[in-house]
Amino acid sequence: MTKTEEKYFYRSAGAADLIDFINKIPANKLSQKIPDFLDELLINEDKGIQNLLSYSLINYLGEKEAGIIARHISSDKINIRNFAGELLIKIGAKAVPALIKYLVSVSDDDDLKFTIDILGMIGDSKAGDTLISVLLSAQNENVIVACIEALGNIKYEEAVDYIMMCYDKKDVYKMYVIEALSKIGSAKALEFLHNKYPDENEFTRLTMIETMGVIGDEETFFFLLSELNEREGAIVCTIMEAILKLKDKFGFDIPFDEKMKNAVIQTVFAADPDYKEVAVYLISLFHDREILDACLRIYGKDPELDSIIKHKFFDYQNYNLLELAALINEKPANLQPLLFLLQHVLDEFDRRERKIQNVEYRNLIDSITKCLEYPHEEIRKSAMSILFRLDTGIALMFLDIMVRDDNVWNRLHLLDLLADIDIEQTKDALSVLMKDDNEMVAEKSRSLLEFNYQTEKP
Amino acid sequence: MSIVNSAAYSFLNSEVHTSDTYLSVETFENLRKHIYDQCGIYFQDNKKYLLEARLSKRISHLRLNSFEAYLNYLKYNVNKENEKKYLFDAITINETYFFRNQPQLDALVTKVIPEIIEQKQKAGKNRIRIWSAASSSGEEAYSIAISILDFIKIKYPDFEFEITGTDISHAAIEAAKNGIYKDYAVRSTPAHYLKKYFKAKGNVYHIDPSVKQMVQFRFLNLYDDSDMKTMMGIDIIFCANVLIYFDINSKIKVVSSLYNSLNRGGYLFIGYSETLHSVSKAFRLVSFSKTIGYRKE
Amino acid sequence: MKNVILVADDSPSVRKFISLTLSLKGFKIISAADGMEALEILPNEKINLLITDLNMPNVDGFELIRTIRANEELKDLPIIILSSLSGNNEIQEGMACGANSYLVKPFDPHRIVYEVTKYLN
Repeated sequence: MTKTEEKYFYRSAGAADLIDFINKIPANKLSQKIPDFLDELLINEDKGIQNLLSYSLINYLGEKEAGIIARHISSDKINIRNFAGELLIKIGAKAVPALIKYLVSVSDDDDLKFTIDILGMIGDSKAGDTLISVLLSAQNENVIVACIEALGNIKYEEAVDYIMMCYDKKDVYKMYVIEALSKIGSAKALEFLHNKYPDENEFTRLTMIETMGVIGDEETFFFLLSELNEREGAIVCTIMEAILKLKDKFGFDIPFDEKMKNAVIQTVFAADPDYKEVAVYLISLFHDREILDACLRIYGKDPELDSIIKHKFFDYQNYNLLELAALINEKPANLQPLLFLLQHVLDEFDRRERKIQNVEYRNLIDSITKCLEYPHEEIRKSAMSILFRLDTGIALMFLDIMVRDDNVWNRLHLLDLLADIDIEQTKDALSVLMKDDNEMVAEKSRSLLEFNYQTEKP
Repeated sequence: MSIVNSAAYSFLNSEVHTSDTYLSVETFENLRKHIYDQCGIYFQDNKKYLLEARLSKRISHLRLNSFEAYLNYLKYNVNKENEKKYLFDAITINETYFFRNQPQLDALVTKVIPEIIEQKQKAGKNRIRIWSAASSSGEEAYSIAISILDFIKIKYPDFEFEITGTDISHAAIEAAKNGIYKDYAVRSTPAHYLKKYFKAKGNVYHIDPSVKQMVQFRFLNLYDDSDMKTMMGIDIIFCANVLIYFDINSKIKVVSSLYNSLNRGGYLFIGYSETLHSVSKAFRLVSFSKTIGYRKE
Repeated sequence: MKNVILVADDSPSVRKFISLTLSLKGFKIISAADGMEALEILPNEKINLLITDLNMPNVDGFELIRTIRANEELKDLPIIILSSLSGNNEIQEGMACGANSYLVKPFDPHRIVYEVTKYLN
């Protein structure tokens, strides 16, 4: 094909044909060919082609190609502009010179902001000085904010003074300034935050506290501890997280008092994805019954938290099952996970040859028997299993309830449990189940009876 | 920066390893690489114990006395090709059950298949090819067949449905072909399906012949290019609960192959809470009730 | 039960600000880095409101909104768009796709809370 024919092909061919053509180009020829069709590929919005550029061809895109791609930032079509940005970020540091060049040539605020964002995400310090000069000359709020953010992402220390200058210019800049200082991190910035903190509203303070966890020093640690005493609500989790970060950094000890305990319990209860790591750490750190009780209430929410709670539970030597029994009695939302936990606990008790004490025993049996008629079939099934395991004698006393269970699988499960028990004790129940509506159940009970009574008539 | 540092971890790793064969970190990494090169499955650092547990049985069966010896066996022994089968069997997890992802099956029969049927009718075709990649012991593939029998066959009697289940474990493929299942596998199966499409024999369930004849099973390695080229022109792919065992690069490779296997207008379904983010942007996400599908446009 | 808000924006700072601001007011926040992640999260969580940027990689805000509005179960989900572009076109287009309201960046935290509480308590 001639150059013109090729150009026409790239522009007009269907996506599948294009992809095919490009895949057939030998690897050693790709680098030189790419600039020929890059523009056309970029304006073709087919997902398969975008995928090709993003994954297969990405390693062949360098400084020169970045220059070509950058031009598409000004595209009217948002898809194309977004995709261009995506590619430039993937290309990374090699794209920076082309982007700086583009930045100084562009006048549209939106294009400017977009380019600044990309430079920030690439994170290369080469762009630092250019960004500072844009920051100083810009009027548009979004452009200013983009510069602050990008300088933070680049961690450009030279920019700290300029960024701090923006703090008092407009309220909306505050969060961005704090965030950027958090990423750059300097003693100057920390002092700045401590000075501004008292006068700020709760939203801004929240961001500041977060930042203090990142760039804070010893003084900050004690400051945050005292803040914990003053605050209530969701902000407590954020303070807690910051305290732990600093504890890690400096090896401090966290004083454990009532206020701290409540803060820990609050954080654990929140158990939000964002604070999960904090919760995990706190649970492993403190040995306290109330905290453990709080943990039981959130048990079942998250596998990682669960495994820590479980270990903690077993490790707490003096812990007994009264609390667990009482909690089960409350029929909380996490009843099912708690019943599984109980089964694990019983396993562990067996392993350690620990006996269940009288009062524990009674309360446990009681709370389990009360689950036998619970609306949810899985609960009833777990309750059945646990009851037979704890005390076969008592379990047999509740057969009349269990044989009436609505759920076929539960009745089948009951038969499994009865199979190993002396037939004299189970034959009445088996006779009832032999007349069950469900043929699997009927069949199975019949065979259990017949197995034990070779000549039994149905 | 992770807050869960050594304090928490030493807490969890307090069990001391006392078995005779011990898997050293170095051997683990070598084994991991060997497995990855064969099939793309990647054992993360925290899954070392899993690999240890899975291979121990095989190692003692072969009367070898170390993991290092097993690795050598895999690489150099005259029986290494055959041993691959056992390796794959050992490292793949086969815990699944019928109708594991009901929203996907609902989307399949209420939206996806009718849409594809319309396209095919326009093109004068009447066959739909469905692939259950990583079908394990067949539960997913048979669930698909049952759903089609129940919802689609009556409405579109002229349409043919070709369902293929593939897996890297020969043992799983054999089990799938047998079609005999225990309680656990059918625990989420609607009761009337159990009556209609299974035959209970003792404490197992046999898949009904009407369902069995809709599905073929065979071996396939998702990471092997030539294997993947044998699956082309597919209309719907199910690839659930297997991508999680790959690392990002093998995932990208496998999904790219799956894309190539699909016809235009075809759909890919992956597992509950799995993602194609950072793996592929070639599909259009289609939102169904309680699930999503990935469409090749 | 807390109300759950899904926040989709490719800027980690924005996700963080919105998350901090709204969790202070008692909402639970789930974050997504773009429309693709958001679509993958939606079937698996009970979401009460979506806040989304319009310019995101993989699947942008417009496609996200359109896909949601086309879904039987999600079609009434309240959606607030975030826009930083100076021109109104983006906002208009976003509203035309089916968004309920919009916020312009850089935004004031009080403004976010105000908008959200229009749809949720």
